[in-house]
Amino acid sequence: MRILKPPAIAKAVLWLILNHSHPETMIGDFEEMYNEIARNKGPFRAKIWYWSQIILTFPSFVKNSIYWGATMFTNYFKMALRFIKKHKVFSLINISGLAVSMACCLFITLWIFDELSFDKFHADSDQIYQALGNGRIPSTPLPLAAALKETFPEVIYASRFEGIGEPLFRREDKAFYENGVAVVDPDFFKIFSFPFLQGDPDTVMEDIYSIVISERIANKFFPGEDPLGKALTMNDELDLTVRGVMKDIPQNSTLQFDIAIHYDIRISNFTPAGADINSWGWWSPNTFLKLQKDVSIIAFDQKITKFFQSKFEKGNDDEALTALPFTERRFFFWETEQYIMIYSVIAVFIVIVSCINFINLSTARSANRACEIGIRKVVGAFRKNLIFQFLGESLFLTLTALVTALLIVSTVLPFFNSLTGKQIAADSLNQPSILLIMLGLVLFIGIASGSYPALILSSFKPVQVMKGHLNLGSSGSVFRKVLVVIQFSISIILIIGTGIVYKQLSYIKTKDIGYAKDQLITISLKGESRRSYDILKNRLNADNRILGVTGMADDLPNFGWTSSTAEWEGKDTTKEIHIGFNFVDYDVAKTLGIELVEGRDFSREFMADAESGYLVNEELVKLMGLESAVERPFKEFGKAGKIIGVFKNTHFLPLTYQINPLYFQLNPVRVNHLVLRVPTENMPATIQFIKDTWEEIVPMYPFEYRFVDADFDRAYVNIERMGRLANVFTFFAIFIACLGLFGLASFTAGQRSKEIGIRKVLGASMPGIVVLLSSEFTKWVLIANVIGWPVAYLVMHRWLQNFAYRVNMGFGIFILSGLAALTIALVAISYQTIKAATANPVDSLRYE
Amino acid sequence: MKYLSRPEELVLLTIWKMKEEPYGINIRKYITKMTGKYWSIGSIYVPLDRLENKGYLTSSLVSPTSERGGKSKRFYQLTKEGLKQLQEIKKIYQAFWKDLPDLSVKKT
Repeated sequence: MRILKPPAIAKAVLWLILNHSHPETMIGDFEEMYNEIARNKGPFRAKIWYWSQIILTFPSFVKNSIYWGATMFTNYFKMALRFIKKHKVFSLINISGLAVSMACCLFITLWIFDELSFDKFHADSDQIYQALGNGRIPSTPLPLAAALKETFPEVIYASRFEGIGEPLFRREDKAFYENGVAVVDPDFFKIFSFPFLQGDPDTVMEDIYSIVISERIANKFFPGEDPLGKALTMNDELDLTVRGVMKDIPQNSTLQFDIAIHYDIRISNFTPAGADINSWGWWSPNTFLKLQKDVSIIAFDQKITKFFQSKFEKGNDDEALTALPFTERRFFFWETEQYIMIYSVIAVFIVIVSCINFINLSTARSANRACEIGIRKVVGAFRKNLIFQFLGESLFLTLTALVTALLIVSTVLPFFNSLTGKQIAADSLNQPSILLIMLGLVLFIGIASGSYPALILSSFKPVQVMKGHLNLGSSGSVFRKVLVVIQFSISIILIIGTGIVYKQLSYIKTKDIGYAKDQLITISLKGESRRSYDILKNRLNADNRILGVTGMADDLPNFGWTSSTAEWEGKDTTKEIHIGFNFVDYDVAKTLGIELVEGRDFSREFMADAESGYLVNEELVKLMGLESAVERPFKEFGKAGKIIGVFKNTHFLPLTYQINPLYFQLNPVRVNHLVLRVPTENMPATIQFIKDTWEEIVPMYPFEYRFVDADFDRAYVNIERMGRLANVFTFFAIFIACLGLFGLASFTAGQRSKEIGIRKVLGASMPGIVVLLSSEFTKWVLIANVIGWPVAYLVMHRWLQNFAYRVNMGFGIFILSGLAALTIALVAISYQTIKAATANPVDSLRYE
Repeated sequence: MKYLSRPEELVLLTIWKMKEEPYGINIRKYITKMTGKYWSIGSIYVPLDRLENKGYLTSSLVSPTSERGGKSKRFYQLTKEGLKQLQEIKKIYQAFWKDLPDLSVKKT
C-alpha cells in the first residue's frame, strides 16, 4: 500500500496551532486519516480535508491566542511603562545609552554604505577595469591604451585619463584657473556613463579641439546661455569648443573633474621637449578599459603582462600589467578598506558596551522587580512567560532608543557630513538595506541585552522573594564584574588608538621634511604670465622682502613625475628603473631651503649648468652606487650632462611614501610654477606686494597663490578625518561605559548601605568610605588595562605600517590612557560614592 | 462528585464501550456514529486532554506505523476513577429518568 504524505506546509501550520498535551500522536492521527481519505476518495479530497481541518480550527485558535495575548501584552506594557516612570534616572541612562550607541552605529553604517557606493553608478561598471603598471601604480605608459585596444579583442574601449595642473580658462571678460581638468581619449565617455545634459557622449570627443564641461562650469562661464558650440580659451593659447555639458560628477565617484579635453592637447601642450611620446618609458596617464562580458580576468592579466613585457627591449620579467576592477578603485587607492574595518570594529565595540550597560543595570535593578515576579509566579506564570515578558520589555526599550537614535541622526547629520567630508542625505536612511540593519540592530541589542536579565529574573523563587530574601548570588556579581572589565578594556583600546593616531598625525605635520614648506608660496604660470616669468622673477628677486625666487615644472609639495629613460655610468640596464624628476630654475636649493650634502646649487656663474647641470638626491646617489656623485655624467631627455650637487633626502611626497631617487634638471623653459620664499612675519604685506607686482606685469591674469604647507597638510585630510571621527566615536563609547558605571555604582552603594552605616557608626571617616567603595572599581579598571594594552599595541602597530615614516608608540601613551580611564571611571562613580559616604547612618540602619 | 461536560461524558462513555483500538480516530468515528452528528477534531481531543488531566483516563503509546508518518498511536483507557465516575453518572441519570417512561407524554 502506498503511503501518502500530507502537504508539508499544512503539517507545519498544524504543529503551530495544536494545543494538545500529546501533539505527536495527534499529528499521527491526522496522517492516518489523511491516508484513509486518500485511499477512498483520492488524494485531492484528502488534501482538501486536511486543510479544511486546519482552517476550521484556526478562528478559535486565533481568537484565543489574540485575546489572551492582548490581555497579557497590555499588562506587560503597563508594567514596563510604570517601571520606566518609577525609575526615571535608571531608564534615562539605559535608553540614552542605547540611543547614542545606535546613533553611532547608524552613522557608521551610513559612512560604510557611502564608501561602498563608490563608482557603482556607471552602466556595466563590472566590465570597467583600470590597467595598473608595475608595482600596481596608477600611471601607465602613454601608448598603452591604444596598443591594448588594438591587440586584444576583449578590449572594447580604452582611454587614458590624466589631470593637468591648473589651466587658465577665459571667455570674454571671465577668467578662472580651473583645477579639475582632465585629458581623455575619445573612448572615455563610452566607457563611463557620466550623465550628459547636452551633447552626445559617444561622439563628443571626436574633435581634438572639443571640450566637455560640467554644469557648474557652464553656469560659471555661460550663465543663462546655451554653452553648446561656444568657445573657451585655454591658457590664452588654444580655442576649444564646448561640445557637451555633463551633470556635476557625484561625490561618490573616484574620478573627479569639471572639464574634459582631448588627450592630444596634453601631448602637444604639456609634454617636455625632447620627450618621445611613443616611448614606453614615459609613464603618466591612468588607463581605463571596458572589456567584453565574462572575460576571465586572471587569463587576461597574464596575456597583457606578456604583451607588456614584449614592449621593453630589455625583456624585463619584473614588469607586470594587471587589470583592477574599476569598482574596487576606491578601496585600492584610498585604502578605505581598513577604515571600513576600523569603523565596523568601533561600531561593534559600541554596541557591546551599550549591551553590557543594559545587562548590568537591569540585573542590578532586578531587586526592584522581585515582588512582581513573585506574584506573577504565584498566580501561575510559567518561566517561559516571564522570559517572554522581559525580552519584550528590552525590545520595547531598544525600539524607543531606535526612535531617539533616528532623531539624533537626522539632527546631527550635517555635522557628521562636515566632519567626514561626505554629502550623505537624510533620506539615505530609507534604503531597504539600512532599514534591515536597523531592524537587525534592534533585535540583536534587544535580545542580547535582554536575555541575561530575563533568565535571572525569571529564576527567582517566589517563596524566598516574597519573604524578602533576595539572593542575587555571587555568580551574578562575578558576571557583572567581567562585563565591566570588558567595557573598560574596550574603552582603553579606543583611547590608546585615538592617542596614537593623534601622535602620528602631529609627527607627520611637524616632522622636518627637508625644505622650508612654511615659507613657500607657489603661483601657477599660464600663457602670457608664463612668458613673463623672467620679468616677474627678476622684479620679485630685487625686493628684500622676498628671500628667494625660483621656478618648477611640477608643483610643490608633491611631485608625481617619474621616467625610466635616465642614463648614467654603470646603470643596471636589465631593469626598468623609474626615477622621479622635476624641471627647475636657478636658486632652487636656496629658495626651497634644501640642504646640500656636496657640490653646489645651480648658478648663473657656470655657463654649463644651463646645458648640462643636474642636482640629485642622496637616494639616487645610493642607487647609482657611488660614494661621491659630483662631476659624474648623467643624461636624460637628450641632455647629456653631469651632476653638480647632491641634496639631502627630502620629502617631496606624503610621508606614507618612502623617499625615492629624484633629480632636478635645470630647464627654465619648462617652468610652470613660480616658487617664492617669504618670511612668515608680515605675510599679508608681502603678499600684497607680490600681488601688486603681478598686476603690474600681467594685469589680465587673476592672481592666485597657494601656501605649500597647506597643500602639504591636505594630503593627510583623509587620515585626519578618520582620526577625528574615531575620536568622536571613542568619546561616545566611553560616555556610554560611564553611564553604565554610574548606574552600577548606585546599585553597589545601595546594596552596601547597611555595611556603610555600621562602619560609620563605628567611626569610619567619609574619605575612608569613598576609598572603600572606589577601590573595587579601581581594581576592575586595572584589570581592564592589562587586557587592553596588548590588544591596542597589536592593532596600532598594524595601522602604523601604513606610514613609511612613523612615530614611536612609546610606553607613556599606554600609562596615560590607563590613568585617563581610571580617572573617568572614578569621576563617573564619585557622585554615588560620596552620596553613600555622606548619608546619615540612621537612615540606612533604622528600618530593622 | 464533579460533573463532567457533555462531550467529556460522551467521550468517557465511548472509551469504556468501544471494542476497537481506543485512539483518537476510532473514538471520533464511534462517537460520530453513535450521535449521528459531526464531531470536529477539536471536540474530541480537547475533552480527551481534560479527562486525562482530571485523572479519569490514562494513555499509553503503542508502536508507530509508517501510515502515520512514523508517529505512535496513543491508546486511552479508563482509570478506576473514570469507571466510578461513569457509574455515578448512570446512577444519577437513572434516578432522573425513572418516572418518565415516555417522553411524548406531557407532564400535567
